[in-house]
Amino acid sequence: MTEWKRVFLNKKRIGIAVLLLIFCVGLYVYSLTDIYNPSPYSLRSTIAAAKAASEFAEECKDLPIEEIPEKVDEYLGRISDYGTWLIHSSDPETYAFFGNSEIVTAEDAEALIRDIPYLYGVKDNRDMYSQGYRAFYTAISGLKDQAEYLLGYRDYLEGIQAQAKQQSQVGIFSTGKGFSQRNLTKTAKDFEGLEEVEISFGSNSGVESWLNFDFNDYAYLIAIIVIVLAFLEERKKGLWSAVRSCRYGRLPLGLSRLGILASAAVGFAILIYGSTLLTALGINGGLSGLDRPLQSLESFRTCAVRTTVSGWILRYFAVKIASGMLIGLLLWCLLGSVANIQFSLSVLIGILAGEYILYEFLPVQSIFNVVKYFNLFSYVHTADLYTDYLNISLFGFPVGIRPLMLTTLPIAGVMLLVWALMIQTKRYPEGNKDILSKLSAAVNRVFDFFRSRLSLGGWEAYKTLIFEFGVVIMAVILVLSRSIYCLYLISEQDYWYQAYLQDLEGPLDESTYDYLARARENIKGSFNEGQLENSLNRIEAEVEKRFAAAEAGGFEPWLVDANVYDSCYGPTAKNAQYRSAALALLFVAFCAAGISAYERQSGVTLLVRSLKRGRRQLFIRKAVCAAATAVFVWTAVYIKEFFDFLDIKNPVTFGAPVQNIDALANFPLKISFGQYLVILYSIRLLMLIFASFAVLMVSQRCATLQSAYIACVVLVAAPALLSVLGVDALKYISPMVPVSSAEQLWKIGSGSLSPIIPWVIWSAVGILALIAAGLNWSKTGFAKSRGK
Amino acid sequence: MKLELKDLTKRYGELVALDGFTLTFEPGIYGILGANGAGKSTLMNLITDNIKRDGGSITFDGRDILEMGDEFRAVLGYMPQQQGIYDRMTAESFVSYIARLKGLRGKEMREQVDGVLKLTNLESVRHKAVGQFSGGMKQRALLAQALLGDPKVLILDEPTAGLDPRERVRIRGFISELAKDRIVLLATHIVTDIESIADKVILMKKGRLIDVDTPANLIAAIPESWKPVAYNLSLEDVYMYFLGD
Repeated sequence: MTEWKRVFLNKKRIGIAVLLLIFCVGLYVYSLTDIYNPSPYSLRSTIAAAKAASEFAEECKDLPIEEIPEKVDEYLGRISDYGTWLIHSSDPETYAFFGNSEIVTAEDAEALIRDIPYLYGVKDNRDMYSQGYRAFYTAISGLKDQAEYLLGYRDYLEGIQAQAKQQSQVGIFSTGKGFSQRNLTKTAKDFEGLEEVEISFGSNSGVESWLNFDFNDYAYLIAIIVIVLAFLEERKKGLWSAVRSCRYGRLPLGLSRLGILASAAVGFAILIYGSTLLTALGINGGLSGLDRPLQSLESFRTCAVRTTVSGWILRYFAVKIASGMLIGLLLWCLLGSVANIQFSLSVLIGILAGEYILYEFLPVQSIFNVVKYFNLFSYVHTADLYTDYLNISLFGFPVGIRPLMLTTLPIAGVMLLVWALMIQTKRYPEGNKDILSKLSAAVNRVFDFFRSRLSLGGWEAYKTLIFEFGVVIMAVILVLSRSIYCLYLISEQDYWYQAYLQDLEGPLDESTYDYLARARENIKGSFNEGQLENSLNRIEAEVEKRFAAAEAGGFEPWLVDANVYDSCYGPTAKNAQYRSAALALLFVAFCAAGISAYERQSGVTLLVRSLKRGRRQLFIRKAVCAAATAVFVWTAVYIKEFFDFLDIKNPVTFGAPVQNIDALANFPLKISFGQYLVILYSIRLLMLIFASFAVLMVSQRCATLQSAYIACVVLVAAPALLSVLGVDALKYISPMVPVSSAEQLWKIGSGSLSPIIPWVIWSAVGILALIAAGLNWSKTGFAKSRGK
Repeated sequence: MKLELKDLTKRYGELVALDGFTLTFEPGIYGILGANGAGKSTLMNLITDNIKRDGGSITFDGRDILEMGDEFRAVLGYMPQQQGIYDRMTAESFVSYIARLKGLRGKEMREQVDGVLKLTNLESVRHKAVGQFSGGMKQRALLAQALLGDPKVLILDEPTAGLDPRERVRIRGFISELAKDRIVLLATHIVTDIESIADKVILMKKGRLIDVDTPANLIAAIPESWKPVAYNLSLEDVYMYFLGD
């Protein structure tokens, strides 16, 4: 019982469990929202759309499936028509072109969405309606996809049987001895009889979105690793020999740990998968539809298991728990076999990285594909065993990867269980061969040659990258930052307008009118003359507006594609820009948090401060390192954003005076758009550097790396992240606004100078943080205030 | 070369950790003896400028060490009592890093790193991570870094703790050699270390300087009447007589 209490009542482990729960549910809900175009009301609209979709599915479930796509189209048509009315009704000419001629009055338009409470509630707010429209469109059109899948499922099954039959008649396959023929025969046999399964329409999105939420799998893996590492704590603390010398320190302790691991596998499966499943079902219409055959869900098209959705969920939990237990046993055995505990983390990372690379990157066609599927991560992503039908070749015979893995599970489990108990009872704490130490010394010999030549700054960088896990954090940042980009959409209605705009983009002069006149001549008699003329009218109006503005403002008139600017840097991208800033702050917090805390964690502050260059000079290097992490994050997030912008837009308008963009019409400086971008990105860099100084100061107050990560994330990044998720009140107490800068610049562009305030405040905070951290590091009296 | 401590005072709230401590150090080995809480670590932290003094002064060759700043730290070698060390560095990396912080560079740095590793008998494990070291090996690594840069003032807090007798004798001998033109302050609970190498012994009790003299003179100062049984007195008796309750 003592061991159970030690493992489960440990504050650190309880904290990790709570964090995993929060992250799983939070990220699951976030994954449902419009992540490419986030806004404070994304969540509300997503939940409303999910509810509407499940109600719609309930309405449709008794209809013949053939009728459902039409019903969906009608629904989508209504919400789309209202959107067009909301946007264009103020301009009768444009509305006449784009709108539905049957919708004439506001009452007509409102009648379209009266039965959709959420959209009706936001009917007068363009932004909220647009956001809601996107959420509803995604959710409802998914039902059409589902109906089309159901209609095609029997053809799919017949196709499998037909293919097997057909191939058996082709010469090279007809012998039936090769893997390919055996595979086709087995596949046909596995799917035989599924035609009798009565798949049906219903609300699928709850289970499907839960199934596709991979983060659960990683959270579960982390939880199991945390428990296994708890079993090795006595080694780390030098108590291994003492524990083994106790009466119950061998087999009884091993059995107790087996019980703990099993309980953890069950508990964390319920906590992690259960909480997200409940959330998913809660948002998407409850338990309705869980009694349908599994193949009713498109994700299980290739699954040959005959069960219901609820039956599969129970089976999935059972497999998940068994897999968790197996992973735990495997890691316990491998880490327990490492004589030197100092290497356990490296061994763990090595095992996981090796297995992940094989699982993710080994081609399916490889002759070694057994190790791709017979892999630790197959037990991590157990859902894939059901959603991906696959036979691998074992000595030329096809073996289903799911039956193979599920059969192996109990056998491997028993073997590992015995191995784990052997380690617990038979392995001696002392006198083991330490091969890893010898290997590490050989590697260190090479590294020491270079390390002993590092300058003081080089050492700080090295410590940040290696000892404070900077390399790992930076790799994660690079991967995560790939998912941040601006979404630039051209609506069908704007197609010709954009085409003309692209032709005319650049400085405006008399030749512009010649072009427009020629274009008007050319479109005469074309099948879409009305559409083209409307586009030319819009262009001409824009051109005249530019000429007038340029004359009044005294700058050169240019025609620019304001939509691109708007999508990447302008008001439309406001929320996406804030999200990028919040993520950049999170990255800076993680990257720079260890820079000062590492000395305290290692207990060397007193020693280091007693050295000639251990105060001011070392602190300067630390500050430079913090700033360098900010530069890295700026590159990963913002320079990448700039290259994304270049992908959308070639630099033709970089020379345009910035006042030619509406949002910046009153920008006080007479500069080009290119120069404006330089200012925008420079301010962002500066603000991120100030953020890194704030992190440095917070980090200095923390005694361990762990507490530094938590404190820095909570103080510097959390308000920004919560603000992005809809807690608007935190927007101004986080440095997100000055880091993002885009909104401030366009506010300045519209004539106001008050947006400068967040920059001034954050600059002052950054500089004061740097001074405070510097004084704190260098001043006398450090030992009293900071301890060792 | 003189390190002068005048009327040095340090308080932690109500507790007076160091009370008007006055002493002038000249080249030689000074062994500091005192019970836990006598003020030994406070004294060392004040000399290394790791805590703020409440009164008095510390001067090195007539200049206040706070004024000297980096200049004083350039002549200082400090081995702290706690085994705080960068666990993930190898012995060579750790000593090289500290050498950098002491302002050493190039060939001179590499020679000194090699020298102190050899001296502290860490040559054979120089590429091993310090985190894998035993307590005694960590102690030697800390001593090695303190010796870098040819320090004029060497402050050693429990330098022989955790070392086996052979290592202790070796290190002791080495410290004796070092003391020829240096001020060495040695705080330890191992009285025999002080007895065998200290030129002078500083007796401290409750933050105050009780006495400072050679081991022989201190032993001689114990009155005959105090001797419980007839035997040869040692520094342990000095401890018991001057510092015991």
